[in-house]
Amino acid sequence: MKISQRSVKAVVISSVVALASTLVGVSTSHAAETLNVYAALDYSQDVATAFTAKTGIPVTVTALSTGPLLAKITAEKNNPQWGIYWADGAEPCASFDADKQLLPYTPAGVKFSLVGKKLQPSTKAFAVTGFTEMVGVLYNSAKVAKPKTWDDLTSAAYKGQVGMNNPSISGPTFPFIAGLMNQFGSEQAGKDYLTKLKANGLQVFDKNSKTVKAMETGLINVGLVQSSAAITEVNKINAAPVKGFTPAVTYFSKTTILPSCIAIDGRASAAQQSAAKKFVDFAFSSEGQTIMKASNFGDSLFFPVIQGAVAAPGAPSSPTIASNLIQFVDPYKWGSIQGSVNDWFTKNIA
Amino acid sequence: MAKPEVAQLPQLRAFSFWQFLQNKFKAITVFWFLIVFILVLPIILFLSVAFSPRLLDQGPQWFTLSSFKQVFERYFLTAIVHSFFLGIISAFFATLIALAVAWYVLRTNTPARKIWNLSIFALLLAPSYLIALGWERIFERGGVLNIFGVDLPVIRNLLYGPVGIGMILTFKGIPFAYLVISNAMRGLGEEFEQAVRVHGGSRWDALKTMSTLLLPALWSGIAIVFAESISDFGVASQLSSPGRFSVATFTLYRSVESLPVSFPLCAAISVILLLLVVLALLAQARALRGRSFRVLSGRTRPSQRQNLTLRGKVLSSGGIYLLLFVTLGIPIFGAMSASMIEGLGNLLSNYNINFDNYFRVIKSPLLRNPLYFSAGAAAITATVAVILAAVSSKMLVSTKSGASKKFLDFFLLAAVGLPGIVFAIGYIFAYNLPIAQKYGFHLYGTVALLVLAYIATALPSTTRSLVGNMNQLQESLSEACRVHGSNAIKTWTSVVLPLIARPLLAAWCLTYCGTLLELPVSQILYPPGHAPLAVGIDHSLGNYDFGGGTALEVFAILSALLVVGICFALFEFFAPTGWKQLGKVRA
Repeated sequence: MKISQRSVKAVVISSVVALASTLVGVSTSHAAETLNVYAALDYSQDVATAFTAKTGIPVTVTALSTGPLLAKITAEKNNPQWGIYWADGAEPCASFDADKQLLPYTPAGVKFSLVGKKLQPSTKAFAVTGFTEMVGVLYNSAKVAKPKTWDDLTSAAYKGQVGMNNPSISGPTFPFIAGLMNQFGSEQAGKDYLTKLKANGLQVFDKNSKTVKAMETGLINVGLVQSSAAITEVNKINAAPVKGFTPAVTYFSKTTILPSCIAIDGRASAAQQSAAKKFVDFAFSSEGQTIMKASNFGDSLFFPVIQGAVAAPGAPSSPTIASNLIQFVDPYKWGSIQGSVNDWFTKNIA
Repeated sequence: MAKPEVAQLPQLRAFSFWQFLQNKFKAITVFWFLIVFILVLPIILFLSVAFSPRLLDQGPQWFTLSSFKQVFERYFLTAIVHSFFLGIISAFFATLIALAVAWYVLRTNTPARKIWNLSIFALLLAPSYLIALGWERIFERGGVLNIFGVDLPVIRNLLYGPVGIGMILTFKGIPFAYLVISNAMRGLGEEFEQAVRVHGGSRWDALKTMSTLLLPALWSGIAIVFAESISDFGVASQLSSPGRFSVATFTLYRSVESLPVSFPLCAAISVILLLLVVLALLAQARALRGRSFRVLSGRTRPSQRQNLTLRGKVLSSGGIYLLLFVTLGIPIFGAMSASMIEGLGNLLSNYNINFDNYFRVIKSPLLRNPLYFSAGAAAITATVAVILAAVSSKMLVSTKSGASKKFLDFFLLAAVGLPGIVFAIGYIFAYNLPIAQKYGFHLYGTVALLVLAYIATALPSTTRSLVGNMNQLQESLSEACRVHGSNAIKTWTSVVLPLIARPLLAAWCLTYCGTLLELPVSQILYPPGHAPLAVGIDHSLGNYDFGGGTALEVFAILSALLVVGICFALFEFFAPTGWKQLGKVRA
């Protein structure tokens, strides 16, 4: 069969035209006003589905861990595509607020608990939907005694036994370090403590899951991780016990509160902002809070900020909250030195 | 009254938009249009942030070199130097090993050749972090050796450092180098060896001649492995952090994925990585300058396998089996142990081996849907990328040395040297511009853009895998066909295609496998509701579901091997005999 160059050209051109039409077609369908939620919390998709069912407002959820999410938002800075940001840690929100990226909003009719009130920022630039603790001290009770204080971890009994996350990779870990600095009185005092911990054989892993895995494989016997990760591990092993590995969780005084923050994009369209406000209200409603706790696993094991609300059944009440051995770190103050502290940590501790 | 005389105008043909398009746009224009939009624009925009952060709202300065000042601080500079040397070492060893294996597999009757041919795509598919993970499982505290009472802290420390990283980068580079070298070796008939021997040359002389004729492929292999190694993040993420041995990609990812996110710093590191790739390109050009390696013609005769002695068979097979064990067996063990041990329990204690995690993947749409989505995206990517790569590689080996050839060459290798996340962010910069959206062009956040980014990511390595073969094609074949009246397309289909059909198929499989488990681009560009496979796996692992995540990974690898197997079976059944002739070896 003879194929002419003309017919080949025609095929190529029609393919390009078809491709272009497809792309434009896809884009047109995408253009319908939909609330775009960028989230790093496990329950965000379930909450979005219930929200759409209740209000009829379509929602798309881009679910990623905090690092890639922040990269995406920063890359979109000259044309933001998100309507809602929802993740652990207040420092990113404080940073967005400093850049005037957020729309201040206070959810309507919410009665916050004492802790909940303290956690809401005075700027109203974002809202705190719940919190976990940083850190939950996860230890293998089959191998090591229960540590009781920060100083215990620098003693010979725990030499080479302790692991933690790298704040450059793990979002929730910087608030923990900022908390140490806050508690010990200065940035330098916090660094001195971490240096002592390192001299005692501290091992650093990327994030919660890697540190927990290092405990499972016996590489370490004490992990400084997010409380929800620690509780998840304890529940998991309780359900399917493993000989020689009996994880338990404890908290030191003081424990830093890690808020889960929700924020609205200040540059989103009016329709998107209106939908975003409704979404925030829904997240604080009893229906929304119930969905957030429903999986009873991972991020669902948070502590509520609403008066009278209780945590998921799998999350035992924290002794530090009951005895007020918790502390709040100011994300605006500590967030401003996050880059230099992370640099210092990577160069000296990791 | 006489009618006024009307000037006889030539008959006007009705304006045809279709014809206008046909006349104005040539296929090559379409090719360049795609190259610029999917490859050049995102790279340029991303790198420009290193010099002008304000251009894309990433900082206050219109022009600054402050990010480079930061890169030349000791911490970053050390990481870059580490990457450079690791790249050289892994490229050299991977190419050397690939050359030896290619010779034994293609030119001898070593018994291990069949298993190697079956395993090569599994090798390509195994993500570098999985290889690293497998090695960790062997040597870590509480790992396999510990179970048997063996503790090797010295080797463990070596693993978490330059030796371990270099070794795994070498393993990861071997299949890339092998594909390039083996394709070229298949095209090298035995007439050259015979000519040397007829003229009194020894076996060693014949080997030297063959090595010289294979130089383009060897240099392509070195360049690819070097670029792949310096841009690899999987090994770095697994071994660089715990071992406190920094490499460039680790610092680059750190600057992108932690607060404060610094794209200017990331772009400056990328510029340095690009300069390293340029060095590799210059070395390649210098080595091949002014020489012709065109050996592939219609008269290329199948070579004859050498019969090895019993000792030769044992040694060669042993070597290949050992190589397969360290490159494939150990990572498979890593993945299998994670996916089949309930709860990924402590290996030192009691544990329960079962297939529960695999059944969970089959039953749960949340786990299996990403596999379906990525399989479809990878198939489209592979098909388009192979077409573009065939054109690109032909242009790269063209005897005409124009600016466009150098331009294409640079960007194709530059793209290999840049980590995936750089591409992904470049795509956001390029396709989320307010001006584009103002005119209703919403590509960002669509499946289409994700696939285009996959194509751009795959194109460089796919092209490089074909360059060796294209370099061997004698242009006189095509010229003769054209002289006898065939058009360009017929010449391509009747003369060129039969000679490179098998390498094209190999390139398709390579691209399919590479795209299936791609993570950085998927993570940043996936449209909501269409989570690709790597995102699904990452999500499972991040949620402490190690068993489900790794089971999904094993499923993905098995499915890819099945696809590759089906492709080659179809080729054997349906391809014309002539297409299968090239590269055949007489027993």
